Amino acid sequence: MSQIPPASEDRRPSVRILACHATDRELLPILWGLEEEGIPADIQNVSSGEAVILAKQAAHASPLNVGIALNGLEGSIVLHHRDLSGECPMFTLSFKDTHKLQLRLLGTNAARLVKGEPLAFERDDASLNDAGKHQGPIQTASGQSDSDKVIDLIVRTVLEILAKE
Amino acid sequence: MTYIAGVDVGNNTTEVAIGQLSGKGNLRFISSAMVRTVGIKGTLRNVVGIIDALDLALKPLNIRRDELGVVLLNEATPVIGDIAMETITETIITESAMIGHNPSTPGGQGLGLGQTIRLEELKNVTVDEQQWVVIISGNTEFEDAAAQLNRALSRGIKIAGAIVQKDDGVLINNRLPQPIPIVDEVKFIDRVPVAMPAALEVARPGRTIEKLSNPFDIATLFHLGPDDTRKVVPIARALMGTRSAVVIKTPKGDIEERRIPAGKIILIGHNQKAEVPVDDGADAIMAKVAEVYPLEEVQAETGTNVGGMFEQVRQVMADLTDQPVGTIRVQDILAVDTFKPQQVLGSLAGEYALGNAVGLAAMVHTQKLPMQRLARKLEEEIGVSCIVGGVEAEMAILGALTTPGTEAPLAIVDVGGGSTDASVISKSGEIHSTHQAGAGDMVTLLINTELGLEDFDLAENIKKYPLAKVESLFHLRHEDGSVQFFHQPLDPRLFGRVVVLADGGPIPVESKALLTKIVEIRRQAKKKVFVKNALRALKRVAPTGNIRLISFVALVGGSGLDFEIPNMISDALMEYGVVTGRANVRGTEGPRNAVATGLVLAYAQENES
Repeated sequence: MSQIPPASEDRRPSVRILACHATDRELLPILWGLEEEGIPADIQNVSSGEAVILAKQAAHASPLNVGIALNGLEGSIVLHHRDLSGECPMFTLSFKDTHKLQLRLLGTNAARLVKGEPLAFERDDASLNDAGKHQGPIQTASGQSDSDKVIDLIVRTVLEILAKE
Repeated sequence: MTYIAGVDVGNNTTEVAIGQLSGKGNLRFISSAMVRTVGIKGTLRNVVGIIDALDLALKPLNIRRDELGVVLLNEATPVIGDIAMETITETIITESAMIGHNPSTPGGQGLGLGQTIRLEELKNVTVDEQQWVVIISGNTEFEDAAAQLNRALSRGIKIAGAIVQKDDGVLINNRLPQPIPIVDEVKFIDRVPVAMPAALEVARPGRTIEKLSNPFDIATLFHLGPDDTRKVVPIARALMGTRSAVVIKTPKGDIEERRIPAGKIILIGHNQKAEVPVDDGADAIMAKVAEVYPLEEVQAETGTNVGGMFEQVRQVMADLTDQPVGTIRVQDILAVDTFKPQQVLGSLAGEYALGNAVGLAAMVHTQKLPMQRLARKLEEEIGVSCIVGGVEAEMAILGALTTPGTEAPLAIVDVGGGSTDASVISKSGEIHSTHQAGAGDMVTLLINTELGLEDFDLAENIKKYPLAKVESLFHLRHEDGSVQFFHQPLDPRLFGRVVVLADGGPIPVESKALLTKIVEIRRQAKKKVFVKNALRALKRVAPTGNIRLISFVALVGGSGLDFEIPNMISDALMEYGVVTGRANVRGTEGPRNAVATGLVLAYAQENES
């Protein structure tokens, strides 16, 4: 059974992380994401528990209302907030198809959830409406023109090949 | 007993009023309806929308279309507007002379001055008094970067600061014995020149940089003479308000602030003619417009930017009305000062400088829109006689006079998309009207440009709806400070963002601008166009040009429903002692349906006598 301290025991303002059979490969990038945003985190190792449930517990235990849980056995990572209903966490990642960048983003977003700042999303799925979020509006424009150029190039190449045939 | 339908086809909406005329000439309004206009106003496609609107109005009455005695169409105002933007000053900062931006989390704080060097080269330099600003590319992991910096520091190398490509500023700084200022998220790190003197500043949280936004401090740091100091002014201006910045002195780096000749506008009035260069700014242009009034035609110097814009407006109008371009004349303009963010040449992190610009709205009087053709077509479709009724402005004022508490002399103001219209009716029933260039579309253009959105739909939404900030997963704070809670969590993509509260739900604003700044830009744009134009229009129709001689001003049309325009115009007219408010046509319709109602009223009056 897991030994999670009741919320009243430790009130240090931090994001709670409950790790169950997790390794540094998953944990460290999440911590870096939090550190870069300047939000402290506390890690606690637990022996069992479903990631979603652990994450919800962590969120309740965190004075900042944000909790993360990793479960190596099910291979999932969950970011939860105290106010969200248990079965609907903020984000869920799986060990298998997550790389360092996504883990770090999870840490970043946990911190931003605390700070009330806009969340960061990955470039590719974000290109629709989130490109250039770190830069000014102009960056968005140049980002678009870059991708436009690529599309242009692809179109031209395809047309050339078609013309040859 | 006859049923009469008044139909007003506008740019955006088609409105219908149904009246019941008894034998004794007693008129009673029994229904009204509104739908979106189908097709461009004045084209045959409008018929679809008109039939829709008629059906919508007739349905609750259990009356069939063919039971209508007559359908009255408005003689649409033959006025169409268009807008454009002219940049009149441009700042060109060549080479990589600076970086200034707001990474969300820069590292350390303070000011650093040193020579730029790549991290990989750091191990080769000899220990001396030289201060270094280290360039760390995205290929280097932060732990490795911090380790290399620590090794150099322990050798006695002096490190004044670092420029980092990734969002690693805090992480690197936390691993150093002494905090140094670190600017991170520098996208084009490869463009940072090596072996050049650089100054780097990171402000404390909640502050903005102080030294690098002051030309004299830049002069002090780089030992600049008066001539060079003059040149760095645009740099200092572009860096104002940022959280972190780098200024690098390159031998080739140069700054040029130049005025772009935007061309001349030629104003031809009834009595005189005047020329005004666009780059003199909006005030100069509008002063000349007032001086030359009444205007016959506005022309633009050919072969210039503004000339091109005028050509385009006339072409659009010609296509729309099926008339030769030669007969289309621009008859009014509204100029507004604005600014336009421009990308800095060779920028390293997407910096921009603000250039001055003039926004221009032009308006064209066309010959009559082909409403007659539309009436024939409608007649064919529904089998009821269709008549093109009175002039739009006169009908609108007749309709507006049904507002409880009004009487002649009454003026109405209708701010549309392309033009601002005003009419006044005197005690004796005489009606004067005017159409002014510049309205809703112009405001959208200003919002889009000043916020650098490059998204007209979003700008349109910002114009139409209030803003809010999403403060938690379950609540948002409206721009007036009130808080609204939700039962379901909000979309994570909205979290922490400024959103537009559109009818279809909140839309995130992809801009780093603060909510208060966006509100300010929106309100200023509305003041510059709507309020200015309402006053300009009322002056033209008021007896002897004196707004004080009008007792009542009623706002009609869709703009009357805007959440802040009526109050703004009302505030501006207060000092003239005029009673201003939204019209309430027939005491039930609000600012809508004035023209449709007026058409029915006019028809009933005519058939009485």
